[in-house]
Amino acid sequence: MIFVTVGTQLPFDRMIIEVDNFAKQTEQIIFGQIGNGKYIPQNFDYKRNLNIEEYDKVFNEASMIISHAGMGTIITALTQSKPIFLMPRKASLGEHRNEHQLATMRQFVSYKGCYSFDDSNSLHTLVTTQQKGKSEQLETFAPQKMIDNLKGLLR
Amino acid sequence: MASKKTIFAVASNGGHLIQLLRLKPAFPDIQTVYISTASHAPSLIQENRYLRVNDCNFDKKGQLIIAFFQLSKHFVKYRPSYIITTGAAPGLLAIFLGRLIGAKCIWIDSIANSEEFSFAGKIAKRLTPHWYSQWETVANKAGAKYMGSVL
Repeated sequence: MIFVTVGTQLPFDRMIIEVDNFAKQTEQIIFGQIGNGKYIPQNFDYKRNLNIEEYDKVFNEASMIISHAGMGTIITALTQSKPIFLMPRKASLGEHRNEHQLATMRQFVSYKGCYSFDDSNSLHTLVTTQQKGKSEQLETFAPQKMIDNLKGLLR
Repeated sequence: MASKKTIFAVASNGGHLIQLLRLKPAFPDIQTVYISTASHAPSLIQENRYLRVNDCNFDKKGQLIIAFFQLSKHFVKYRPSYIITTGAAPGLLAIFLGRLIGAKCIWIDSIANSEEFSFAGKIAKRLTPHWYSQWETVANKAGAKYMGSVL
């Protein structure tokens, strides 16, 4: 199963439309968390929002993740070694407050198993080549140096 | 650390909370109360160490005010000595309240802000000297501090 998510805050119809087109071309089962977007997917099941338990469950079951370039989803995918395909929100299209997701995307495409896509065709190619692949694995917690520095401040 | 001083670890649900939880080994369990906008405690946190506040952001003033009063109640009850937050709106409210009661307030801007501080982060600068970016370049440019990142 491939899990698609727009994150907790804002809808992202531009991505959901591309994923819906991709869903027509693939045998893969897709499940989406689509927020309060106007576009209703025709080719895959979805919920608008998931609580933490539902989110954890569907994330665990997924073999690949399609997401906006949100830090939370990226970190969660990489701690679970799941390949992730990113479409950054663009402030120029009114999709976020500023262009930080473009910067996030640029930063993470150097990680193994982390890719960006702009449309259903590029997504299809990526998913096909990444099947059964694994991403780089992140540790559960921050590096020890950061933890130690923070402990020092809480003294 | 002096014993029994309460730490409030605050973040809105989603990426901010995921970053905060990556810092968990720095927070002694018996002293720390986690506060977020998620309906339940995340799996790493015991339900009795978790407080929920209303989901809020800077586009919805009414939601912010509700969250502010909920947070105020928690501050009166626990009298935290330390506030640590990775943002966004609920974290800023917590820093504001923490400053009022003389708590040590630590702002760690989200790692998503790799080019400049977030909107909330820019306001936090005026509220606390413990003002951090997770990017050395951003910290240097803004006159903030740097102690590493959650990644």
